[in-house]
Amino acid sequence: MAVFESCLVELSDFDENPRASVARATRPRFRVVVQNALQDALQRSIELKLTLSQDAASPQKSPPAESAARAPAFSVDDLLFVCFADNRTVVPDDDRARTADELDTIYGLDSRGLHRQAMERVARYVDELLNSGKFPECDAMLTAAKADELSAPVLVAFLGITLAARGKLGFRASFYDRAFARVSHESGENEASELLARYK
Amino acid sequence: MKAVRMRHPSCWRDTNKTPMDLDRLTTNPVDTQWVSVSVERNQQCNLHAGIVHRTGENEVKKLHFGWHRSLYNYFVTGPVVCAIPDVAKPAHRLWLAVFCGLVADNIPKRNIPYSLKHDEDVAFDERTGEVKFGNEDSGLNCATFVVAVFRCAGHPLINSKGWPKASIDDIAIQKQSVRSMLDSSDPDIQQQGRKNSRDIGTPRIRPDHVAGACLEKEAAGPARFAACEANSAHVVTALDSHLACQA
Repeated sequence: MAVFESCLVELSDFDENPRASVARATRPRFRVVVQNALQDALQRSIELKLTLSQDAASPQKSPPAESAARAPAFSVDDLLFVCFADNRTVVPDDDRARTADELDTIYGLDSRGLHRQAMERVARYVDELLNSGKFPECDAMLTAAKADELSAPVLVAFLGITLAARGKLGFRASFYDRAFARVSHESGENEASELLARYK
Repeated sequence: MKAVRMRHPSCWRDTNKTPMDLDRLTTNPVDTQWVSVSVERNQQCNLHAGIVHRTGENEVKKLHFGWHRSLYNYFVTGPVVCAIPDVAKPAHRLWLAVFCGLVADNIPKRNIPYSLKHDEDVAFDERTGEVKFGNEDSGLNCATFVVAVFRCAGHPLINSKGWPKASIDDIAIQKQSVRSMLDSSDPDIQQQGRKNSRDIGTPRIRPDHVAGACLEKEAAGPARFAACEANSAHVVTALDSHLACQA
């Protein structure tokens, strides 16, 4: 797990309060690493807990008991807190559950070939989040969205509706990368570029 | 209404060898491949631009900025000419239609002042995250509204760099619009008219320019003035021929 190894190098100063210690480490590189870790966690399960070890020599997701005793466990909330340290905001459980429901609906519509309806759903929901200033919620949705399970039009909708807000959405770039990889894998890099580059 | 589809071959202008495709001009809004720019003549016989977007099977609506703080979305009535932009990817065309639907759904939130100026920056509200189609200091008009929607959706039609100052005809239309606002009994419209009076002579993107931009190839990027101006003549000719047929 390269992302965790990188993360371990950066995390060298834990204390009793995991949030305080990780919030100190807000260097851009660290943020990217944490965002990747969070994305990985959310891709597997919204409830997955991440444990980052302080010991760079033994990077692993489930450290042995003696390592865990001195390394704090980081929940998804902790990581969200780090990623949005400037805002001091985390995504409330209700919003996260609603986003998960919304994504389920979008996957369902898209898989039945109802691309337009799926795109409209994306556009309306994300627009509502942006209009309410819910940037972390929007980021959480981009992070949780499984690019591999979405059609090209729906990927375009996600990127198109967030285009104006890209400066506010820390996770949008990684969503773009996943969308690009997904289209590249299916149709080649040229097609991915023609389809997505204008929304970068 | 009898639909007339322009059957000119694609042609090349000698000036810069940019391809222009008159096959993308149609008088039948239903021909719109998800989205097109419409041009019509209003009661004063001035040109007016809007966006025709597909809302369902054989169903299209026209989204247009009619006047000060008046955005509309309804079925197309009356003769129009539609210029279908060169958007190669079906996913992009679909997205533009979805985006227009979203703008239409949010019409109550879009309280757009009428302005003569072209506001290059569609503001993004830092506090609410709302995309602003022109702010209180500037605003939009029918043509720049179309420009703003396409730009916001990630498909800019026009590159306004180097756009010339208003022509004599443009100034006459700008003055006419300011006069209408100043003559209004609505104090808000009067106030906007006073603001706009300071902008008479500002570069003007005309409705037929925006439709003309759609006739350019997507790969060439957002259209500049020369291309829009050259293409606009075809748009106006098509519209007026259509109106003559209707008369």
